[in-house]
Order: sequence, then C-alpha cells, then structure tokens
Amino acid sequence: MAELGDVRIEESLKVKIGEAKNLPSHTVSNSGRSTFCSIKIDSETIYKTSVVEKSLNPFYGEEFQGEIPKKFRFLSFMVHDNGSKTDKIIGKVTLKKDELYRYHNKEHWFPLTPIDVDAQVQGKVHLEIRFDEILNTEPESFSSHRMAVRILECSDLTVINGSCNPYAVVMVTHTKSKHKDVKRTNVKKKTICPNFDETFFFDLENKGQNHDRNLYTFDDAFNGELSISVWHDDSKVSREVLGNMFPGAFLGEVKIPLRDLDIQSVHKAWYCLQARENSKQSRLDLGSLRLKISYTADYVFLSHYYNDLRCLILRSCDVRPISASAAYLLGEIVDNRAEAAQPLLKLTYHHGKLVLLVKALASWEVSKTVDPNTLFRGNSLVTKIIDELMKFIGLPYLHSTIKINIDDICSEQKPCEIDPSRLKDGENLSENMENLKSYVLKIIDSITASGLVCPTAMREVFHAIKESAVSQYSGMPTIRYLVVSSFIFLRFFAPAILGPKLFELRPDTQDSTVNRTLTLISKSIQGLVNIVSAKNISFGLKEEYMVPLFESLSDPIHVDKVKMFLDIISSSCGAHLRNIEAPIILKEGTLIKRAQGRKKFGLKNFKKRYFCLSNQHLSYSKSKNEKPLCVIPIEDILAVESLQEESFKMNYMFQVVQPQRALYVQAHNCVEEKEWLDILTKVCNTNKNRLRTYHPAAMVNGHWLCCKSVDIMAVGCTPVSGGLPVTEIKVNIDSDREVEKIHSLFLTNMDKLDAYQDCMRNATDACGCQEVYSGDTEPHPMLVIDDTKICFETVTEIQKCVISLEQEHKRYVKLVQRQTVIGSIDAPIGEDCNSTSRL
Amino acid sequence: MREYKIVVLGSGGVGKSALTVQFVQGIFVEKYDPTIEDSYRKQVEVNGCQCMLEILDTAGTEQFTAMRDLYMKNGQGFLLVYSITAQSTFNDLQDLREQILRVKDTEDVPMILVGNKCDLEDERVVGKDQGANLARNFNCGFLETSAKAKVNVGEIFCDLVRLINQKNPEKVPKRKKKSNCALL
Repeated sequence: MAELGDVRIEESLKVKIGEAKNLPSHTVSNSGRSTFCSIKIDSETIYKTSVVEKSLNPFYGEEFQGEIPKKFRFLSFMVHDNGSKTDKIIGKVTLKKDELYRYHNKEHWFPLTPIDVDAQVQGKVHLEIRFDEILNTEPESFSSHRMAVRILECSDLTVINGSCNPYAVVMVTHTKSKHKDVKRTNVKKKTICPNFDETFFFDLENKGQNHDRNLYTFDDAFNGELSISVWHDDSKVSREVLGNMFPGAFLGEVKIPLRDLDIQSVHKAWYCLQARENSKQSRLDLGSLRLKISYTADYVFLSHYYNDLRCLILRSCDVRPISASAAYLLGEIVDNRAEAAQPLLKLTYHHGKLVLLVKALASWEVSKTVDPNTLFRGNSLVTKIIDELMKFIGLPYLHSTIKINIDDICSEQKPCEIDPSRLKDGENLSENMENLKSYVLKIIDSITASGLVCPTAMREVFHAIKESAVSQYSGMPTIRYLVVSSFIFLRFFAPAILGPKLFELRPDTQDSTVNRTLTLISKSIQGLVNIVSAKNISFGLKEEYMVPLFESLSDPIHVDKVKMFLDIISSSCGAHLRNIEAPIILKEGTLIKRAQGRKKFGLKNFKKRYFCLSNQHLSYSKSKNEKPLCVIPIEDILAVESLQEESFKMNYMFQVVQPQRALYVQAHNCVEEKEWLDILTKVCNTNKNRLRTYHPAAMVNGHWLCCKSVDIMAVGCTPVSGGLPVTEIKVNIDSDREVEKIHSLFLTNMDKLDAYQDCMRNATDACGCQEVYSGDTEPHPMLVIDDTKICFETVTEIQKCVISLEQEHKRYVKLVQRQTVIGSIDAPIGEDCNSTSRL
Repeated sequence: MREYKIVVLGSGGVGKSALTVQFVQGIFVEKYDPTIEDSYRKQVEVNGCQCMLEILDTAGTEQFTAMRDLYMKNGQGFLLVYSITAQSTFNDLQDLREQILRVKDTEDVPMILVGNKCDLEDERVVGKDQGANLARNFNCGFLETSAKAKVNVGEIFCDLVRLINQKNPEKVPKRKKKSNCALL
C-alpha cells in the first residue's frame, strides 16, 4: 500500500485566452481601449498577453501552458488598461482552485468583476495562544485570565508593488464595551515569510469591574474577538511623519472568537489569511472574458504500481489487429484524440516503442482509407501522435530553422500584399510581389537545407508512415511526398509561420499587416508543396492573384529542393546522421543575475541579462543579439538548484554551480523558474562530474548562510535534488506520470469501455458490433472492431488494471484524510480548498 | 449591396475547397490540395436581392485552431462540411459547432450541415438519416452535396444567406423596394 511520501502531486495548467467583450469605454473619450490580459496564480503573475490596441472587444487568441510548482488557492485573469501610465486593471476573473474542474477543457464566458484591494489576499500566519490564570491577592476576588498571543511567523504573503515589508496587528475587541486593545509587531523588511516571534498579553478581565463584580461573569470576558491582521508597511513617511495615519496595504486577516478557544490548553496552529469584507461592492457591468482552462493534478504513485498498465499500453504495437490494442481503444474513447495522443506519445517514445506504434497505426489507417489523396488528412490517433511528437521534440529544430526568417519579416515590415483588391494606397503590386517572393524563397531555402538536422525521432516516424503508404499505393509515385508533407509542412511549418507566437517563435503577436504577410507566405509555401506532391500541375482554379507566384515557384529548382528535403527527412537514418546535429537553442530569455565575481574587485551587483541555453552551452549577453559576456559549457554545470530566498531576500532565484563559483539567477515568477531549472537539469543530467551535494543558500558576509561554513570551497551541505532517471538528454519524460494520465483517461471514460464490452459479449460472431452514431443521441463514436475476441480480452485487461489502480487511489485519499492535521502548515485553518479531494 | 461573411469549416479532405471553388468558379477541382486560408467574393441573387458573399475557405487540420477562433468571431454564417465517406469527419463537427456557439455566445447562429461527396454512394458510411438527425440536434439546415456532380452547391450558400437574413433582417433602405426584396 502506498505511503504518503510515495505519492507526488504534479499539477499543470493550460489556458486559452480567447477574447473579451463589452469592456467599459473610457468615460471621457468614449473610445476603445488598449488592453492586455494577464494570468495570476494567487498574487503572482505568470503570463501576459500582447497588447490589443483600441478595442472594447479585444481578441487575444493566446495560449499558456505550464507546470505549477507550488500550492495555490486562486487562479485569476486580469484585463489591464495599457493606455494609462500606471497599471490600471479594468476587471478580473478569479476562480478557486477547487472549482476549476467545472470549467475543465471547455470554453466559457466569464463576467469580469471589479478589483477589490482587500480581496487580494494570500498566505498564512502561525499563531500560538494560551491562557494564564492570575490569582488575585485579594481573597474575595475571582481569578482573572491573561491571554498570551504569540505571532510566530507568516508565509507566502502578497507582494505589493514589488515589495513586502510586513507587520502584524493584534487586536482584541470586547463585544459589550466595544473596547479595543491594539498591539503591533515590528516591521520585517523585504520578506514574504517574516519571522516575528513576538508575544502580546491581554487581560481578559476589564478594569474597574471590581466595583460591581456581578455584572461581569467570566463569560463576558470571552465574548470578544481576537483578530490578527497583517499589513505591508509601504512607506516610512506615513508611519513616522504622519504618525500612523495610514496603516499601509492590507495583506489579510484572521478573526477568532475567544469563545472558540479552550482556556485549558495551548492553541498553536497555522491560519489562512482571509480577505476583508468590503461593503462598497459596485455592480458595474465590466464586460466578460472568454477562456478555456484545463487544470490537472496527477497523483503519481511509485513506479511499480504502474507496471501492469504500462506493459499493456507498450504491448499495443505488437497487437494485431492494432484496432484491438489498448492504445487504439484509448484513442477511441476519449473526447479529444489529442488528450490520448500526448501521454501515448511520451510513453512510447520514452520506452523506444514509438516508431513501432506509428507503423502499426499508419498501416491500419492506410488499409482503411479508400482515396489515397485524403490519406492522413483527418484527425486520427496516428496523426495526433505525430502532431504531438513534432510539438514535443520539434520546437528547437523549428527555431533553428526559420526563427531568423520570421524575425526579419516581423521587423522589416515590408509590404507583401498581392491581392489587388486589398492593396493599400501607394503600394505597388509588382514591388510587393518581389518582397513576398524573396521572403518565401528564403524560408524555402532555410527549410530545405535543414534536412540533416531534423530530429532523429521525427525522421524515423516519417520513414515509417512513408513506407506504409508506399507499400499500399506503389503505383502512385507522389504518395511519398504527399504523406510526409502532410505532417512536416501542413501540420508543422505552415501553422508555425502563420502563428509564430503559438510556436514560441515570437514573444508577442503581430499586427494585422505582418499577420497578412505571414498568411501569404504560409499559403505560398503550402502551394509549392502541393505542386511537389501533385501528379500534374494546374493552377488558376483557386484564388487568381496567387497564380503568378505559384507559377514562378513551380520552377524545377524549387520543386526538386523540396523533394530532396522530403526524401532526406523520411530516409531510414543510420547512426552517422545522428552526430552532426548542430547546436540547438533550447531556451532563451531575460533574467536577472548576480555578478559571479569573475573579476577580483568587481561589485556583486544584480543585472538584467539575456540568457541563451543551447545543447552545448549556457551563455548570457547584454541584450539579445549582442556578443555573449560569459559562456558556460554544459560540462561545467555541476548542479542546478533553486536558491533559498533568505540569501539575497529575493525569490525565484536559482543557482548554476560551476567548478569555481556559482551563478545566481532570478526568474520573473515561479513558473519561469521551474522551466529554467527543468531544462538546465535535463541538459547537464549526463555530466559525469555532477555534484552530490550543494549549498541551498548563498555565501553572504563571509559564510554560507545554510551551513555557516566560512570556506568558499566547502563541500555542499545538502544532497542535490534527485531528478528523475534520464535516458535522453533533450527530453525528460516522467513515465509514471504519463501512465497515471492514461489511467485517469480510461477511468473517466469507463462507461464507454463497459458499453463496448457489453456490445462484444452480445455479438457471438466476429465483427458483429456496429454501434453507429445516429446523430440524435450523445455522440458515441462508432467502434470498428476487427477481431472481437482479442478486443474483448484487451478491454477486460484495461478494466482490471484501472480498477486496481483506482483502489490504490481511494486508499491514498483515505490515508491523507486520516493523517491531515488541521492547523498544520499544510492544512491551515480556514483553507477553503481541500487539496486531498481528487475526484 | 449587403455583404455576407461566410466561413466554410470541416475536417481535412472533406471537400471544402471543392465546394467553394465549384460555387465561385463553376469548376470542379480534382486535386486534394490542402488549404491554408483562401477567400473569395461572389455576387449572387437571393430572393431577388443582390448579395455580395465573402467566402472564407479554411484549413481542415487542427493546428490552426487559434485562427479558427478569429474566423468564427468574424463570420456571420457557417457551412459545417463532412464527407459521407468518412465517419470521423462527421463526428468532428460536434466540437466545431460547440466552439462556434461559445465564441458567438449564443445558441442561434446561422449554419448549415453539409454532407459532401454524395456522388460516392458506394463508399457511403454516414447515412442521410444520420445527417438529418444531427441537423435536427444542431437545429440547423442540412443538405447532401456533391462538388463533383454539382449537386446542391448553390443551394447551401443561398440557404445560408437566407438564414443570415432571418436572424438579422436588413434594415429596409430608404428607397423602398419591398416588392422584389421579400425577406423570408
């Protein structure tokens, strides 16, 4: 049975920000607004869209995808007005984590609500409350109580305008007398996890009541309320000059009725900070925002729990007919085949079964397709798996191939419109045609020259699908180009050129002119590819204005180049091709780094630098296209770990440990920090000289903050984080997590599996099952069954694996519920989402 | 002249371009060249009114979903095309329609369900009754077409124009020409 520590929770978030509508207009000018939208987890911004100019119905059309490395309570979306100098938020959508499942993977319009400063609360506070009995010396008096409130610490407080200088106010309010006792802690500077450890005493018997003791019973004293509020001390001026007139920014509060406390025992617990109630809620209509949110939390057990299901899935590529395999059935029962394709791809790729699976699925699809012209055009499991493969391992290749071309197009802004009806004033058709043609030819040159650096896995898969198509349609010489181009061009290069932001080729979206240029280029390139894979060339049926361009592209020089490229990327590649892969850029972006101390007398200051990680080195420069200031070879990276916040009082910091020194780098948010940590860990995972221990904090003022050692070269005091077993440098796959994903897909679609099973049980002879989607009920896709017996066996096995895994999950949930201590740091009092609820 | 923005949607290889080109140029395109995004303009007479149709022929592959959102936002009427010879192209339409309704934020969007390739009766896997049922479920029009044999091609476009007119009747122009402009 799984222990608590045997289970890890992996959370990921995918969001499509569609558009906003009916935003309020400026009261003065009544014009449109320039807006952008941001995503926040709790108070931390993790994504921003590009600015959409002057519209009250802005179309953003952007996607965010990432792993969430920390516990969070709220997911929010802010629509910002970019027109004003200060950041003004028009409205927001805030969703609690435990209600996200309701919107999972479906598009919704959410009403925008006003920003309420007092509701931007996160974090928790650790308190200890005890009661001391004070015996009065006067014989006739009752004993009175003194309450000791100890404010130990807070964690994860909200950061306001980039800083957080917290202090806490402790207040006891007596209901009857309305009397308030107010005390406050000292201010802690620059920390979201202040350690106060201050104790305050409150006498619970009112003074002056001795005269008429009978009026105050013991209960009266306990009729009050203890409240602890946390504030950000935002300016020294307000505190010292204005004499505490402004308390600073509110960070949250906890209210505890004294009645709820047991005077006999010491009460020590973590409390979630709560929002302050605000009476002046405006009822303004602020418009709405269209979002598609997919949030998943995978509860991943230790590897051996997944062995049965993993074997069953991996065996799929040997099952014949393939339509009776577990992988195929998974593709049939899910609502969206991409959902099934993702974990199947990663799992089979990781275990070296991808090519076999693709081969089997492709041959089956070829055998079922009547017209070779429509081969691999639809959304089948195999096309989805190849899509996911290209997205998963093809991005560095895409970037190294055409990023430079796309950057030029976006910065040069040359007019390329060749549709006479869309020409702008003063534009010249033939000049535009030359501009467009030169862009198109440059991109074609880049792509066709990239054949040898196309990732091996992609080449192997293209080879497999080409073989299966050619063997069926040997009489059709163009079929090889048709099938390979339907992936590498139609599903990879063409969409990437059309939407460079979605493929991370550009950091922001383009204006409408550049977009139109990119569309024309994408059309031209697909047009050339269509010529390559056509039996006979004919133009003039589709858009007229494209014809002259297609005619010039149909020159054998270009056609042959494309053919050669398609042949190279679908050749059965030998080992000799593997080693010539050029440096490939894996990740780049701006970060803040601390001076490494390479110069003896240099200042240890922090500077913004442009970082670039390839599969050979990590380097940084002053800005994007400048010469690197420092190049660290991958072999010199001995460890990559995050850095304790206390080191420099800065969060999202991580360290790149090298033989002589460590490089300390700060990311913008936790998601970005995790991305860099993950990719850096991956590239240096095979380094032989990797460290076993490291220092979780930095060396400050002559000693390591973590272990207090004064020797700069002291051996690390903490073991490095384990990392997962890695067989490939470039991609790190968590096999157990993928099987867990497959498990939950099977589980949510169990009803369909059961229906298939019943259907097969009833069908005595093979091929008897034809459940046809009649159109008027819920769509139950028709299951094609080639072999009832094998299929029946597979379904039975799937059910067995899934049920036994699910029992393990249920046991785990019970265990968590039993072992959760309310008031502990992981389960603070007042937490509204129960992280253990899984189903 | 009133303009109509029509968007042709559906999976890859169902014949969206063939239908569009057959309608606009009167020619059947034999080749199955994948489309990225083509646009055409054609003037037609519907119920005695001259209409300018702006037709957007879209990509069938799903990589272009972000663009699809934009087409849906800008389009006034939609042709949802499947091939009667491929079940999966029929099943894919459920999601497409749902996405249109979400983007438009209304249940009432002019659209027509189109079962193309009805000349390939021998290869039929989606029955006509299935199409009709789905159309009833979608609460939209339905026709089986053949771009090759030129069956119902003009009809789907004209029917769609009528649906758009029904939903958004044109404000009657100042010079009244009611007699030859009877809107349905």
